[in-house]
Amino acid sequence: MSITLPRREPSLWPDLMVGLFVLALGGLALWQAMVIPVSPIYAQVGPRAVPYVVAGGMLLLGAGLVYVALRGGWSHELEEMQDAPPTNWRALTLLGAGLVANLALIGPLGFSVAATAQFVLVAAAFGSRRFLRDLVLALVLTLVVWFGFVEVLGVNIGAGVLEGLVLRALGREVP
Amino acid sequence: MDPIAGLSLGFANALSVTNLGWALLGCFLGTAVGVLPGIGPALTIALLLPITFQVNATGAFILFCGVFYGAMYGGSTTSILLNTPGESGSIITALEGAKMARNGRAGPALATAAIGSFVAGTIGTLGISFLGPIVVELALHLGPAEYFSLMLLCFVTVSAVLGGSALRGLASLFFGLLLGLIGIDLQTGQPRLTFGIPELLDGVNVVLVAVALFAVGETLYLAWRYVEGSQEVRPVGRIMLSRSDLKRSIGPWFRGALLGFPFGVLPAGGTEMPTMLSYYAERKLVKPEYAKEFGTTGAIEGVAGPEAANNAAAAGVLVPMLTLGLPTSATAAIMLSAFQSYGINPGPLLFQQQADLVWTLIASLYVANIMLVVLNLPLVGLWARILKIPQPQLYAGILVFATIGTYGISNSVTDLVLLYGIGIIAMFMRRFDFPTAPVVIGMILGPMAEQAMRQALTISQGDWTTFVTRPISLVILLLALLALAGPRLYGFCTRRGSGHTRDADAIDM
Amino acid sequence: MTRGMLARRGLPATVAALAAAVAGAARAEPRLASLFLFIPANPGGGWDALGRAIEQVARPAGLVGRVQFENLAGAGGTVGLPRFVATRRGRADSLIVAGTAMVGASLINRSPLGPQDLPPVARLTGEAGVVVVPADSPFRDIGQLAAALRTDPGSVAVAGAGGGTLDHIILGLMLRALGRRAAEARFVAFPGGGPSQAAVLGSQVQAAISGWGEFAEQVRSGRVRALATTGERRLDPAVPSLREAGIDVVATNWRGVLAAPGIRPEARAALAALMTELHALPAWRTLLAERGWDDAFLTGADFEAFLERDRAQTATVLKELGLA
Repeated sequence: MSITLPRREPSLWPDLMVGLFVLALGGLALWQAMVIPVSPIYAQVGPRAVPYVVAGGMLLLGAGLVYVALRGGWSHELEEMQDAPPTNWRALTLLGAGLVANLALIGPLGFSVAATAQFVLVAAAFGSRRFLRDLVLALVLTLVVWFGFVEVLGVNIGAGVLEGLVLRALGREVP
Repeated sequence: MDPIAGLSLGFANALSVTNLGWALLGCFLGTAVGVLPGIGPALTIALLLPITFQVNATGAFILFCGVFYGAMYGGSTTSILLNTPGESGSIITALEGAKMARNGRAGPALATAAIGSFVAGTIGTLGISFLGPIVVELALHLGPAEYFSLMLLCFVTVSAVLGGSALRGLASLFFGLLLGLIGIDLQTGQPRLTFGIPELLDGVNVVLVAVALFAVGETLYLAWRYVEGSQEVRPVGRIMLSRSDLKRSIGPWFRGALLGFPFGVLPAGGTEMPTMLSYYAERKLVKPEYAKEFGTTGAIEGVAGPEAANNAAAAGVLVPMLTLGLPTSATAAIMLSAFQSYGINPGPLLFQQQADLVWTLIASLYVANIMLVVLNLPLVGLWARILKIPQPQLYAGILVFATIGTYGISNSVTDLVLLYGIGIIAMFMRRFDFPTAPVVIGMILGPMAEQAMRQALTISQGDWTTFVTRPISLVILLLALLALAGPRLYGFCTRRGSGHTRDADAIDM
Repeated sequence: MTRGMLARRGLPATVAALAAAVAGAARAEPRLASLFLFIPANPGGGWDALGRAIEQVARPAGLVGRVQFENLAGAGGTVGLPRFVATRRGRADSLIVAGTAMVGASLINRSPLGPQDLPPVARLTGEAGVVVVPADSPFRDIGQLAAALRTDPGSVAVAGAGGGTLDHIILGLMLRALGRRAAEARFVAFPGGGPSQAAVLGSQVQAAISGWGEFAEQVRSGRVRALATTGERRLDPAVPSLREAGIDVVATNWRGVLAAPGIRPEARAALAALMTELHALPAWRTLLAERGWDDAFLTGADFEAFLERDRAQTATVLKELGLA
């Protein structure tokens, strides 16, 4: 462990960022607590008291984390971090793309298309190479789920492009 | 009508073929929706309400109660297997349950949850049959001051899940408290921390947060550290409980059930608080040789206890509804509206005026419980095999599944943004060793404690001593103090006596 | 026991009657081929129940052909409102269920859109509130409670379902009628009618305000005492209305339907006529009686005037409470 000194420097920043993030959350809470209008309603403890306490607590804890981070941090000492594999940018990107695809597509194209895109991308992130099989699997799965919701529970989760096609193929009206 | 006569009348009705059919259908539907995060029994029953136009009252209520009990069973299954709790009462089950599943003990975890649910459901139903009216009268004596003290007692349980560092554990807790503040303030009606987004006015759903923290965050973290070509094979292991599993589960089942039922009866109780207390109790009471399993490989006591507490509390929730016509939970409120569509007015006179209906309902609860354990135990093997799904498809499935539950009902992209956003935070929490359980505890207890405190202070006209001058409140506060200081005092004494620390104390703050 | 039997025999009979109505009307073309009902709340609540009830009665009677629902809950209906306006603007076949809670919520949340921005069609139901005290309360009648409130509003802790809700507004209106200010109310908010009932039953508070339906059975069984109801007329012969007791307050929890903005006047008149016909059906009366809903049918200019009054009255109190 005598050669850890030069390696220590890069590991200080991540922990510091965490501390600053908690501080920022505390600041955000404080700001939101301050904009709650003071209510003239009869109350011993108003709507602002607890938000102030929570904001104060977060600021204190954030300061504590910053202090620990500046003294060398904690995360490099974690057992799990010492033998963790390096960041897998490919997997993270694909997974992130899956989440974004779902958010972007669920409105305009409907649940099945969005969830299928998500499924295929996430499976690819975890090393699946069988794109077509995943696609078919996802389509079947999401359509079954969609019809389960609409037919069994009677919940309208909005028919998208794909659901409309299937409904028309079945000779049904498209809501 | 005394309970014995009532029950015999009830069983005579409940055991008819049609009523058994309704119970079976309810159990099945309930288990199915319990599995989906975000879709709880309340919503399912609401969706089934139009059935009241076609089915007689007895049949409909047997169906509804089957859904209610079934959802409690189903909620634990996904908590254990996929770390995605289906109901708020199953969140604590996920803590140890998911760890057991990851270490090849999914079968025993599911089995102890199923049998524990049966034991607790039966104890709870016995409670409804014989103690209901008495317990509920006692429960009415508790006001906001007592509830506030109870919630302080529950906050002590955070100490059991703080993890390696009090600083990081408390930061997690405060993050939960912060999330809990979002939405309209109940006392004044003012929006707080909503940033002007109308979707946030009703607050953030705790099940959504739990799924984001446990399932989405975990999946993201695994992608971060994913090594190309490595296929982690999750062992399924043995399916049934071993003799030692059984021995370790029995105590937690009964303790959980006895803790859960009274909490369910309390008008402001619910199913979450007793699961926390049960988890804390089991973690403290566990035999020293198993203590290290908690939080690492998963301790069966931490599944058996909270799951039993959850089911007994669910039974308890029916008590104020049946005996006083009080809808103290969302599910009960919707069942009450179903009563009304039959022209039945639930109230204090329900037990007398609708004796046959009520007793048939109670009898069918026993029946539903037996059905559920018979349905679920053989399924344990099948469920556990879900873990054999190859990693890529399993994780893709988990994310799609979390999305369905969240989006399916609310139809709101805002909710999805929250789900993924909190998931990303959870990924970093995992990286920097912040425990996630305190977030959920803070989020559940924080708003309840704040409202109870402000209700109590409005009632006492600002007199803070109300919390210690009301005797029940004082007793609960002393209990909380004991729970906080007791283990340390004990540890201090044993240290002085034998000169070494107990492992369990290391996790105390 | 007998009531239970009656209820169970009564229901299939209703179903049969409805079925007969279908058979009779099926030949005629429905007045409206399809109706789109937007419910800005989750299934299981009062707004959803009203929406489904409209379908349950109107379709068998041949008033409408197909009914489609969309539920989008949140913030007292103010999450659903913009969606309804955006997706159904100018559509002659669309209605949104609305009510008291939406008026309050749109004021409190300062929503850019409120029920006042939509063409009103009809008010269908209304539920009066009730002021109750625990059975062992020293307040024997509304006069005694009013006197206590007049001398010191802070001396009486009153439970209700949430700050800024109708319960809170009624208490505010009462205080104003008694010459005090709404903000002086010592209001203890509980999450919904159930917990608020529990607080009165356990004598944790001195009084409570809630919907009549929620307390009716507790009053009948003698576990709480009803002092006054908040409607125009008495609901229970033994319980006066606030107005009868000299407190000039009328406030009910109304529910009705509004149309999409931008529809032609003829289309709006057709929707109003549809609701008028619905209201005239015997099946509608049966349904109202079964659910315990009070008939509060109002349409046309009367409904418009009512909406304006309701909004003004609500706004006055909410302003005083610092909420609007």
